Amino acid sequence: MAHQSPYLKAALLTLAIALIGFFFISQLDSLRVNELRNSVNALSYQSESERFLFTYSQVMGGGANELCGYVSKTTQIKEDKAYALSEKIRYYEQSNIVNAEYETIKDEYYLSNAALYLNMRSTAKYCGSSPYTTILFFYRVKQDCPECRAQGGVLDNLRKKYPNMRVFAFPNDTDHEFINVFLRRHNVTAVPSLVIDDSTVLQGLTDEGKLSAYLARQS
Amino acid sequence: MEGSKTEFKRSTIHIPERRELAIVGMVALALCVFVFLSISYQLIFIAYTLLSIFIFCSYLILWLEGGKAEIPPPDPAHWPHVTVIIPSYNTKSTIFDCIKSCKEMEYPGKFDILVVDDGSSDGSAETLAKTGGIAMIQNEKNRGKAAALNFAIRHSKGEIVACIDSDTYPKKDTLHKAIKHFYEDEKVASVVVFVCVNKPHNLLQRIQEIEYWISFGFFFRTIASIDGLYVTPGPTAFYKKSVLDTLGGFDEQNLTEDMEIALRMQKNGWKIRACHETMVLTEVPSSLHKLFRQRLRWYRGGVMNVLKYIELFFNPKYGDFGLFILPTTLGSGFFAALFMAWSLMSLSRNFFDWLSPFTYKFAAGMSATVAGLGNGLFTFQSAWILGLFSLAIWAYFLIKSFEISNTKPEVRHIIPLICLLWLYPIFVGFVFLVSYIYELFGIKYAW
Repeated sequence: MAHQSPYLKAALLTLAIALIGFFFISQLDSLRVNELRNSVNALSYQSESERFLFTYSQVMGGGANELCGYVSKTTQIKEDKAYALSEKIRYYEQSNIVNAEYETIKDEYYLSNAALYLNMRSTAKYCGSSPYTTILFFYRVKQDCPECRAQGGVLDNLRKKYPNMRVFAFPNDTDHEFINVFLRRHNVTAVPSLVIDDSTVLQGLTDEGKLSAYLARQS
Repeated sequence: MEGSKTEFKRSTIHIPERRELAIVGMVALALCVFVFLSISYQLIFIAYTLLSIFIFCSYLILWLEGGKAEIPPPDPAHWPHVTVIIPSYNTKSTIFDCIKSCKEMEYPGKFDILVVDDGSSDGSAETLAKTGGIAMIQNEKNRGKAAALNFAIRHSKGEIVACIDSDTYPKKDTLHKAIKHFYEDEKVASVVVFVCVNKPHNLLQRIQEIEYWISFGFFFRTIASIDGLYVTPGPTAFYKKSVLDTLGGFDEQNLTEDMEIALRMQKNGWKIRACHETMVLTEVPSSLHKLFRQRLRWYRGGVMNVLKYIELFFNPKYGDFGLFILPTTLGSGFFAALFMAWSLMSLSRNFFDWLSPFTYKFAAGMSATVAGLGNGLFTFQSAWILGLFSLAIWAYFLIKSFEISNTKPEVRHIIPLICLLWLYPIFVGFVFLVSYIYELFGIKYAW
């Protein structure tokens, strides 16, 4: 090749740009991972502290009023974050290039989410009633699932109408025993699927009208 | 020649060969789309961006080492006789301004103007016959631009022929400045000049104005510095008549005869030089439909010529031209088509998500699941960092293009620039895709 050196120089320049580029990419990825980590840690802290209060009141005998008041207040704040966080994790993971921590973050997030769901059900049982309607939402992650996205849209819409609705989203195709117990308990085989207040199971895509009717009945 | 209705006759000799190659090309395209869809688009994007950065860096280095300093050659001892050839087919709205500009050219040697009417039916031939200071020859029937040029070349008296489109207006010094470049090297067979857009009126023409500055300005100057020009643009190009005679003139069966002749010259060891000390102004399509037709002809002609001269690609015998210029210029159309096919598939998937009977009623809610769309086009953020680098190099090219055109960047350039960056590639990619499909199915071309 007559002009070899320009291309060699170009290759070296490209390499330098790639190195600088990947440095910034890794910084960006780390920033986002840290953000998610902090959010998941906060969820985890919340579920731990709730669990502590339950155990405390059972072992030491505490006032139910105080406990119920506390749990319902914190749940109200954190649940909003918990559901939004699932979308954020997915979004960040798709944008991520160099960071390998997402699997751990997701596992911790699912677990915290499951624990929070359990706390909420426990609150309802322990306190006699709950102002909240809980929804388990099962979706798929390993393959594209347009219906799951649509179901997500329906839930988002309804959350505006029913502020006391609490959604806990879980993938049905990961091998987590704490998710599998939910799936087995409610015989969930399809995605998307919804479980309302641990009793009503709706398999397949549920449209807004139908879901709205269920929620109206619950409240 | 735009606007004529003659159907272009395809070469009967090349059809089977082209068809097979086109099928191979489409299979390759489909495979690439499959690969695109099955592996992470992050990886594809990074690979594509790094490749673009390498190509951009190469142009940057070539510019800094050669293209930047275009030194005007000295005056020759003898100024050759030049025949200006203007092919015309129903061009009464522009040809008289073109002739006026040509007559006003100042040249130390002798030059004459030869208009070849290619069977016009708009009355322009009659007016041309009465016009003084030019010679006119006529084709009884419309035979296409390349045939008209060949006809005129046979009748020309000059050592050099200047082929100027009837909707193009040279500057006073165009002839004087361009001809000197023939004497840089005895192997120079053609000289091209800086083609710019004449009086852009609407946004589409303003976008093309900047596109022409970049393509015919920065890139042509850089490519010419390593003797890599792969097209002698139709609006204006100068040729040694003896070389055209030796090579057999323009290919009358080719959609882009200006590219074909350049590739034939390169193949036969002739050189093409660029002159940016002067410019010509040309009319460009004013509507998307006209632009689509023009580009479809260009890109289909490109496919045709890539296949015709496939042996030049990656051929070390042709140096930079074969190893770098051809793959990165004509070859890039393939990537444009590929990217477009992939984007259309991603978009259609999301679009059908929206429209499917299950989901249409939730359209309002879908906006909340922006992440849902993330599976398609909009989640490259981390990789965009690399894209920013390629954008930065492109911005440098742009600044140099403005300098070459002696234009000061102004606020009015911002909107056309944004369109050129974000919307125009979609249009170009789409036309590339259509041109591949047309070639595959052998759809006949109509002017």
